[in-house]
Amino acid sequence: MEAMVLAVKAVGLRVGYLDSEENVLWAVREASFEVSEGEIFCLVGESGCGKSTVGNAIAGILPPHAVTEGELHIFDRPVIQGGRMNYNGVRGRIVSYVPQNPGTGLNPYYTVEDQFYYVLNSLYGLGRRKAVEVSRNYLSLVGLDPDRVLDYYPHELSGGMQQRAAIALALSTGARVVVADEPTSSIDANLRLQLIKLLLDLRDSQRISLFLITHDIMSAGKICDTIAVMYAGRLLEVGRGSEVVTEPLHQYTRMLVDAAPTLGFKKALRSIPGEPPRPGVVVEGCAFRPRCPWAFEKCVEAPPRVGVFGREVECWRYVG
Amino acid sequence: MPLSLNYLAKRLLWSMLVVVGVAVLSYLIIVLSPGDPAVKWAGNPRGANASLAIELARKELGLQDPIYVQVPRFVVNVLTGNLGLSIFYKQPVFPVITSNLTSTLELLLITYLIAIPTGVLLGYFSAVRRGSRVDDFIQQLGVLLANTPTFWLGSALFLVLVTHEIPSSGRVDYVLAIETGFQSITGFYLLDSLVQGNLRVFLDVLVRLLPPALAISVYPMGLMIRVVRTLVTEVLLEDYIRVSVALGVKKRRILWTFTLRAVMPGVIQLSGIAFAYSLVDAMVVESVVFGRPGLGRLLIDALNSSDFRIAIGLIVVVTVFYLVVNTLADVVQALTDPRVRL
Amino acid sequence: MSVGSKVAIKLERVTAGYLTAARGWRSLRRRLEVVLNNVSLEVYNGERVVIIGESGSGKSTLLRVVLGLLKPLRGRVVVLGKEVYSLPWSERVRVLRAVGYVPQDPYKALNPSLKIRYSLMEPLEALGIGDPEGRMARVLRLVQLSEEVMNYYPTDLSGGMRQRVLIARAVIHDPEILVLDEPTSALDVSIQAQIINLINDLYEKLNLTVLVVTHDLGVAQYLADRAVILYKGEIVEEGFFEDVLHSPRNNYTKLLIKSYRASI
Repeated sequence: MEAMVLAVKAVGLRVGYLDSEENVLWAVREASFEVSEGEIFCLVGESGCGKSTVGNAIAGILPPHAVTEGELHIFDRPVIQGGRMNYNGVRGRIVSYVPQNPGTGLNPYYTVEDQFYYVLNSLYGLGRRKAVEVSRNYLSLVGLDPDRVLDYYPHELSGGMQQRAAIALALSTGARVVVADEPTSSIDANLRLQLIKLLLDLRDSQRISLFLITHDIMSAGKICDTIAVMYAGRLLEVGRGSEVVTEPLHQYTRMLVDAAPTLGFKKALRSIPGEPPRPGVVVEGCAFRPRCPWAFEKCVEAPPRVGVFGREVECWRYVG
Repeated sequence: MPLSLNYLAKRLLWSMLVVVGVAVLSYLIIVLSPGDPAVKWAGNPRGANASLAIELARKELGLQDPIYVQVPRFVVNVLTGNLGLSIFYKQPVFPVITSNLTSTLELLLITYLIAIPTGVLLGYFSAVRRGSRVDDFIQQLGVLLANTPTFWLGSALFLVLVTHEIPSSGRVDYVLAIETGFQSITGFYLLDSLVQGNLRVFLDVLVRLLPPALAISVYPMGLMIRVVRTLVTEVLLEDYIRVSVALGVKKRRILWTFTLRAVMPGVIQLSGIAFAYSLVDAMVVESVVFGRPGLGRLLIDALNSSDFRIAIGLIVVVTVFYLVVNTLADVVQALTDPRVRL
Repeated sequence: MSVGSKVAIKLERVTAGYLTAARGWRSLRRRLEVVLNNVSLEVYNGERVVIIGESGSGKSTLLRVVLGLLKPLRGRVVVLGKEVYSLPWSERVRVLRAVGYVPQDPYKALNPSLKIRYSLMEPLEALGIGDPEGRMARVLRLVQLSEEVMNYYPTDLSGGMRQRVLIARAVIHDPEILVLDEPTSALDVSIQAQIINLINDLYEKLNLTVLVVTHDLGVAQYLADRAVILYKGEIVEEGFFEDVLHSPRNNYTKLLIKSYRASI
């Protein structure tokens, strides 16, 4: 059994924010997972579940007033340990980030060329000419004609072009882990498949690990090696992409799959009654209990994580 | 090209229209306010030559002509800089105004050279140490500065300087200027003395410039301290800053290069607006407190001697001043903010 | 729900666009940007039609044209037998009273400084319809919200609840046609399902004709009898949804279908 290099490893990671009264509102209550090198890992969840916070933690852009507990390692480097964060040498070089909204994620005051220059110069001390060379490579990789993009300001490009430029920028840092927050959400159908193919190619050719954050579990199932389903700051189920979607173990996962439309097969859309708890609200026991059809007495206690058929589930029904 | 010729042309046109409007209004003031317009235009003369002066004034204004001839002629005179001879100074009006304008302008420029960088730096410190006691202190300082009456501050400074026998009034020591052969070329004495290599005059002008400049600078400085803090804080929360951090851009670059770039348009716009406001401050402080030549003194003299010509000349010049400053502020913003297209 | 033979909405060779300032020194001249090009469409009474288009396809413009908000450069717009743009404004309002509109973003479409009840009452006041209390209660029940919602502010409600309020407001004046702009785009998957079911429920209960604009094929599947694919201002394909899905003829349609499961 060869040792798998772990790109990202989280052990009991908790991330919260201080509110005005110095209380901590936990956005991530407990996250433990592993991302192998060259893997596509999808973090799936609905709004407010804390998935973006996990992404921010890996990318090193948690706000200064964030509070952390637990551990987060990136290629064996401890970036979060308890309450301390240390991302020296990690940002850019090892972990890169593709923002969800490229319109606001690209600096409006600089041309695309400048943006590449500032990043590459900061990281590797590249001069302008070299930086432009590098940027040309990556822009072509994402299907953009450098001559039609480099001298332009972000707002002069279409949404699709902006997103691709943002992806090229993120890739150009030479990072081995790329965190992408819904990277194809603002792209037209034309390019979506192309981009997915590109991401997959990168994974194969350069062993880049992709950490994708998405709300679409069905798409995740088709693309990702591993899926982690997040709800109210916890990972309810973690397992192989295709399996989690075809045979979900946790009730929430099953209901997410049921509620998602499948094209070509008009099943009944079963929605999940109720609403997820607002971020920061303290929950007793299993967070999903109020909406879960399988809930029973034990659920008032927080369920442990159990291994089932190579998957991890947080549910009392699988204990014992 | 973020700036189109079209826009500049339109702006120029509108500005001229404003000046024309002001000229028309001024004319109406002379003609419609109580009293004989010719008397007013002649400056309420007394004595032996009074009636002669009044007749001359009547001819100048062309009061015998119908109104639709009077007004355009007056407007044209204004636009060509021909308002006749000043009652008080006995010299052509516009040259008098322009030579005093450079004095006030020099003062304002030095003021802002002090106020803006200091205010921006302090605002930056505040923002970066947001929530700390340093932040609170700087912000309260900003409020204090912005609300300090310039007249009072100027007077206090003046008193301190005078009691320590430091030269503080006027614009330059004329004796020294004559001795060292100083010539006024542009009207900006600092520039002129440097160009002529006359260091003694340069220092003298500077020493007399600093106290009034400091007094006037407190308002824009206080303004910048508060506004820049807000601007910088906002920029640091922007998405693209977070992305830059994530991609590994060095903190110093983000804080200075990126943020400064983002904050600049706002600072420039605000400076433009404040600059026009400071004109009034400057006119009061320079003339009344520090006895310097400038638009302030012109105003006082004009009012004291019923010199309508100077008064109207002043109105027109100040109007043009505001127009130019505002246009410049907009133009600079277009040049510095790539999202703005004029 | 039988489809009548009468036409609820008809667009006949509609071309529509906007005047934008041209770039550079010619900016004195305005440039015409055509967004919809020769679009013809019929929505029959009692049917559900979904217009599928991505951003930039012209779908928002098409809705504006249908709602009487944007006069087309060419072509006719007929709503319930009346040609909308040839009527004076007062007459137009009366025709459009038969239309209920649910705008796109539930987070931005409700006035945050008004309590829900006042937002709900707006159409009644504008159209001079009485019995506000009764109607509000009835309509809230229809969208499965409790009556006390009336006294909340929009910020007190979640996205799903806000969307229900918007739908309630759109049907409070008894329209015959319901028009919805991306009704589920801002919502989570589980809430999406609730809203889709709600729309179909109201379709049955209130005998509506439904016109939906969306970019999501999955959502369209559940809301469409017929589908119309809009691409760059032109209709590239239309037909019954099943037919379009299983035998698409246009390349863009095929691409849409293929990339459906790539929304990562």
